[in-house]
This record gives sequence, structure tokens and C-alpha cells, in this order.
Amino acid sequence: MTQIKQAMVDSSQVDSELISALNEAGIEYVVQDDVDTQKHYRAGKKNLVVVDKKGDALDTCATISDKYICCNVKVLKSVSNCPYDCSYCFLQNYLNDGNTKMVGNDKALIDEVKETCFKEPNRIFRIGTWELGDSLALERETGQAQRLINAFRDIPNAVLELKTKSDIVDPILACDHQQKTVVSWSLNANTIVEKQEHKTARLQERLQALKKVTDAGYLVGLHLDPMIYFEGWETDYESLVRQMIESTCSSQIAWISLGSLRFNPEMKKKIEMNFPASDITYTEMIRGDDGKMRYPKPLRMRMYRHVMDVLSAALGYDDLSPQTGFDKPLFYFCMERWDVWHDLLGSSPTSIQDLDYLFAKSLQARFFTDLPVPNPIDYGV
Amino acid sequence: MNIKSLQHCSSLTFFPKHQPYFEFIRSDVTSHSSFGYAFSYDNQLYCLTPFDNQGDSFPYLILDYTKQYLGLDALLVSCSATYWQAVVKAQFLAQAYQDLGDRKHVLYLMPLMGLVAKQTVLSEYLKMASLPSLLLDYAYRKKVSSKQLLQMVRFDLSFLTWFDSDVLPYIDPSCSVLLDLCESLHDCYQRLGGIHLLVESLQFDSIWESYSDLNKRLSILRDRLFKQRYPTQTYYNQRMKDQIKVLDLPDFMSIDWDKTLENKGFFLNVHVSRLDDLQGLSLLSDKQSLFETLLQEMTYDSD
Repeated sequence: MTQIKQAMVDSSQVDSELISALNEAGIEYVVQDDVDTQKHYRAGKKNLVVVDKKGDALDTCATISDKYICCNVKVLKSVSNCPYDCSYCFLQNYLNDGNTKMVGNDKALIDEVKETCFKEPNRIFRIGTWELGDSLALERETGQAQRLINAFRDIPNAVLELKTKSDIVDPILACDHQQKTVVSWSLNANTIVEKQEHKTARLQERLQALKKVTDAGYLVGLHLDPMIYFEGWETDYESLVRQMIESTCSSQIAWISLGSLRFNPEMKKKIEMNFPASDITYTEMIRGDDGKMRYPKPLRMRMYRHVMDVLSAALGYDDLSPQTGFDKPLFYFCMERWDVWHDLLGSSPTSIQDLDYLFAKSLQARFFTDLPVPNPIDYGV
Repeated sequence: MNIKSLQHCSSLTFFPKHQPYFEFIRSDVTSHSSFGYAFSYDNQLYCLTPFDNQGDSFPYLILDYTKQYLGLDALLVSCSATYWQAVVKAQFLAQAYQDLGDRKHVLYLMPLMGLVAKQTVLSEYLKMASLPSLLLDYAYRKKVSSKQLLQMVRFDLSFLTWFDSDVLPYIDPSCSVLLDLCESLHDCYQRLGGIHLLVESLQFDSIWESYSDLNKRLSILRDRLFKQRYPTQTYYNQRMKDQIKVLDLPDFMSIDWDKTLENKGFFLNVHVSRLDDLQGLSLLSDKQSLFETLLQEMTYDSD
């Protein structure tokens, strides 16, 4: 069943491949320039507006405080808004226009990616399409991921990350990806999926989809983020970790991340207003140095420790640190403090650039041995 | 709104249907010392200006009005409603909605109060008017803004009703403190799963009975509430305090740390006012292992 109720296409995009995909999927559309903005983020979730690329679409997913380490992944803003409705989603407090907008001009997107990647040929770029939306939620209707997979195959120093909470992988299974695409999942404890991640694929559906892309030879990414505290979290997250590792093959796991619930202070009111049944805002939180609300550090560390213990056992690695070898999936924390890294993994990257470099080293050593060994200087380390 | 005429009258009465409105606007209107306002309804003049004018003949400006709106438009103009407090506007609109029975009619009145005539804005004001009575009085007394009132109404009504009857009468917080208090109490109430559990854990009665000073009550309540709302911080900060006690530092030395627990590490403060104090610095190396324990405490791996 389609997630799109109405589609509007900017007149500049009528000849795009995205429109052919809409036609193929049987989605009717109207050609309309200057579509009215939707004030509420929910109001436009079922409206697909196909637009031209305006300005730079490639950006860096970055934190605003140097006290928290980010991974320096690049984000390609090809879609904004999402058909799913997670209670903690930052889009409810971020989007100025609630319409689901997708860039129809794939060529312009790819050209920008190529230009950036070719400027620094000695770097390996990780580029995701998930900053403002889900990478695969609309794949049946738009086919955008397939076109990006094909394009990234031919960019030697770039890896595409498609991150999703969907189980919509069938359209990409037959792509000739040559492992230049990492299909990754945002996964959570079943209780959280059921209570907070509305309209997304259920946990078992996501795990089945993970198995499918593993069988199709893709590299995969696993993001246990945001980890959310609730009564019984230990066993639920334990079960999640075991199941996700069983659903894939560790040699194909490119990376695994952990992160805890965090949001801007003004989001608390939005969440309580938009999701009155949700209780996620009532847990103890502090305001971090980056201005975001998050659980107090002892609680975060307790949650991380527990999941890391289970993960180590499931993967068969005593040491998950990305700084002690590249024979294992790269493990990292998303937006976490240096000392949390240090106390839980024994060491921490020296900078955001250093973590970026560790990613490149891991990718090159494990999957792209034809590429030159990454040099720290190329990453600004 | 047009002025139809100027007339001198004495002993004008209020329009009966306006009576409920004067309950909450009486003390919030601009009084005119030299003239009053009135309007003519079914050939009878009614006073619009709420002050004592029972004396001799008095000049009244007779205002035009819309009958459909029961002359409420004239009332708003005569009372300079744009200057009213948010809570008065809210109560007026709620009463008008009750009397006129149609939101569209109420929308017409909103610009006369300086408000945008939008359904969403009307809904917000109607919600503000539904606050329990003491909170409405409080909002009036403290001149609470519409933005702050909106923050109050996002809490569920059962919580607000309890707060209004069981907490507010015993304290006198500023508006920002009240909002913070509501937020904290509401978080704990939701976390614990019910008012009775919140009451049980915070022991309000013991505060009200033990302290008569309103500020003291507020401070004790906020202290208890902090511990309830931030159990992790409370626990680990207490552990730090216990560890620091073990260090047995001289008075001129103290230790400070980030109480949110985010930033690892501590500040060792040494206040040197006498040469003898400098000799005390040797303590630092003597107690190194205890300082190490303190730092280890901040890895939170013992539980």
C-alpha cells in the first residue's frame, strides 16, 4: 500500500526518473509549482512534493559542541519529512514545511557528490540520505535509493548509507551495489518500537529485511539509537542485540552505533503535545554542554555497558574499540562525550576527524582493499 | 466603532446579559473620570462603564453596537479591552462563547481585544479560561502572560485541579517558579503513575504543617522535588560529597564539580591567605590515592 496520498511535481521535474517511478507505481500526480507549505509536520506526511535541487544538498552531520564526538558523516539532503511518526523525532520541531519533499533531479545530487568526492580523491566519504527523512520508506514509489546505489557504485571513494526504520528492501535487492552501499537500520528495543516508533516496520519486519539485504550481499549498519530508558530495558535491549546479530553476518556489518535519547529542550513540550501517551520525556534528564537534553551520564553509561557486554558476546569480540584493530565491525557512539568513550572503550578518538579516519581505515581494510590505505593527513588528523 | 451621540444621564443600569462579564473585567478596565460609555438596546440606555455613577447627571458617549453580539463589541471598546490581561481576555471569550453559542461570532470580537481572529488562537484562549479558579486568580494577580498561560494549560486537567487545590494555596511562587514547579511535579506525577503516589513521596502535608513561611515551604518543596525528579544526580552527588568528606580537607581547600555529572573531573580550590596555608599544599600529594578514588567515582561503573 502506498504511503502517498497526493503527489505534486514541480514543472522542472516532470521528465525526471522519479516521475517515471511514480508512474510505474501507479501514483497520480499534478504538476504544480509553488506548493503551499504545511505548517504542521504531520499535515504533509502523505503529500509528496517533487522539487528541484536548490543550493547545496551535501552537508556534514555535525554536533555543535566539541565536547561530544561526532563521526563526520556527510548527509545528502535528498528528502525531507518522513511517513513514519516516532515520538522522539526531531523533525516535529525542525521542519518549516511539513510536506514530504524529495529532490527529483538525481543527476544534480550525484554531480554534487562527485564534485566533492573528486576534489579529495584520497579520502573515503560516507554519505547518508537520512538526515531529514527515511532512506527507504518511499522506495516503492520513488525508486530514488536504487538510482543512488547505481551512481555510488561508480564513485570510487564514496560509500552510500541508506538508513531506515522500514522493511522496504525488495526494490533494492537486485541492484548491482558492489558493496558500495551500506543499508542500515535504526533499531530499538521492541517495547520502544511498539510504543514510540509509530507507523514504522515492526522490529521483526526490520530484522527480516536486514536478513534479506545481508543475503543480497550488501554491507549493513546497525544503529541502536536512540536508546530509551524504560522498566525492563535490560532484557529488551539484550534480546534486540542477539536477534540483530543473528539476522546478519558479522563480516558484512560495516558499523554499529549506540546513542541515547537526546533532544533540544523545546522538543519536550512538542513531544508531550504531539504524543500525549508517550512517557519518554518524564525520565530524568540533564541539559548537556551542547544544549541538548539527555539522560544523566551514569544512566547512559549503565545502558551502554549493558548493551556492549551483550554485543561483545554476540559478535565474539572482547574489545569493541575502533582503535584496537580493523578486523571487526566499527563500533562507535553517536554524539557522546570523550570520557564516555574512554571509560567504556579504554580510549577515544582524538577528534571528530580522527573518528572519520578510523571509519576510512576500517572500510579500506575490511572491504575496499583496492583503495590506497587512508592517510590521517587527508582527514585533517 | 461609531459614536452615535453624547447624552447626559443619571442612574444608568448595566445590560443584564453583561453582568457576568463585569465579574472578571471590573478591576481591569480603564476608568474614565469625565465621561462614561453606554449603548441603547431596545430603546433603553445601558451603561457600559463599570464605575459608580449613581450621582447626578453624567455625560455618556452612546456607542453603536451589533445586536447579534449582545453589545459585547461595544462593551469591549468602552473598556479598552486591548489593554486587558491575557487571563481576562480568556475569561471574556469563554463567557462570550457560552452566550453567543457560535465560535464565528466570538471570532468577530477578538480583534477588539487586540487578538488575531483565528480558530487556533480562540481555542488557546478558551483552554486558558478552563484553568481551575485559583490558578485563574493567580494569573490575574501576577499578570501572567498568554505565553505563560499556554504553558500551564498543556498539563492535564486532573493534575492542574489537584495543584490548584492542594499546592497553590500553600505557597506564593513567582510565575517562572510556578511554571518550573508545575513542570517538575507533572514529570514526577507521570513517572510515578498517579497523584496519590506523588503526594505520598513528597509528603506535602508535613511541609505545610511544619513551616508557616510561604517562601520556606516553597524552598523545602523544591528541594524534595529536585531529589524526586533527579534521583541519579542526587545519588551520585551525595556519593561525591561522602568521598570528599573522607578526604578531610582543611578549611582553605574545597572541591567543586559539575553537579549535572556531565563533565568528568573536579576543581580543587585552594584559598591561600596565610603563608601557613602553603604548607598545607603538601596534603595534595599525601592524599593522591584518595583523589584518584574520587576520579574513579566519576566512571560510574560500581553499580
